[in-house]
Amino acid sequence: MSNALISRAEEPTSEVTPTTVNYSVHPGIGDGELRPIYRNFGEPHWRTKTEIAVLLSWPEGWNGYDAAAPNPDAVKQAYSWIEDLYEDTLTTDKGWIAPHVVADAHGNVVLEWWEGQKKLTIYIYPQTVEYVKVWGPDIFSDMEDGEVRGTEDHRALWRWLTE
Amino acid sequence: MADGVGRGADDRVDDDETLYRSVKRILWKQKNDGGFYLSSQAFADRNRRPSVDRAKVCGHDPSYTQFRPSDYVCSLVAEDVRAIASVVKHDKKGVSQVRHNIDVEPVPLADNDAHAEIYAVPEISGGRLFERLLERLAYLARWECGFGPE
Repeated sequence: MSNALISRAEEPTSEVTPTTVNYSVHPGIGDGELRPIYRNFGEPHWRTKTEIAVLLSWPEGWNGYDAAAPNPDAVKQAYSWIEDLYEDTLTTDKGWIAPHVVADAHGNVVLEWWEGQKKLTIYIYPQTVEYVKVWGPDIFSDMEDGEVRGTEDHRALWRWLTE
Repeated sequence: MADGVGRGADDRVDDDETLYRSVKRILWKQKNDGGFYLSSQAFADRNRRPSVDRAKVCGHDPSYTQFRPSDYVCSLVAEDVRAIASVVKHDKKGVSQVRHNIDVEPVPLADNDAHAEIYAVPEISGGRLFERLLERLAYLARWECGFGPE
């Protein structure tokens, strides 16, 4: 994963929180050929990929409590996973829906989608991906969880979310 | 800070107590209808014991709980937390194995007398049960007036 073209508009200070992270984009200069990442800026999921990359700037204790700083391996895995998911959504009627991008207390990447009464939370660990489906408040009868093992699994989750 | 509530070793959090939780602004998302979604990670905790502050011990002042002035503050009612009683861990065949009760207890700190923790009995040791609990806590939480995105 390269985020060489993404830089912070301001250097972080001790007062900067994840809520105030700013970034700016600098395109390649002068060679007449847009670099691949710049060509992709127009893609709907570019913002999500940028938000995932920005997680690397979140410090230890980013939530004010005891959360770990996001794990670079989990961020790398999320960057790749979201690309696969996006490619799949291009073949669906609903198309791309941008997730809310955060981290969990252990430094893993968390992606959240809300669609009507449905909520889908994806936990991206360095080696695995897991999900929690929510369609009501009851932990037992209104939620389901499991591991996302491959393309068919994330397609099924996307269908559930968007149908 | 405190409003004179006497507390001893056997002190407990009463059912009608309000519990504050500081929330970074990154942890909510605007709805199209003007409402909001609260991320399940608003209650994330490495030790699976989310921290809260007892309103009656901190003078019912949500700002007591903020780490920074820019933080929002949401609240839960202890009774609602304890009502999350249907937390059941299942085996791979879907058979109920363990029933977890959710509770909240005072855990005063040297610099925070109002500190309390939400926890499960027995302790949640693995699986995704805690992640489900986080979803439920986010569902129950309400912004404190003047300390939310409204």
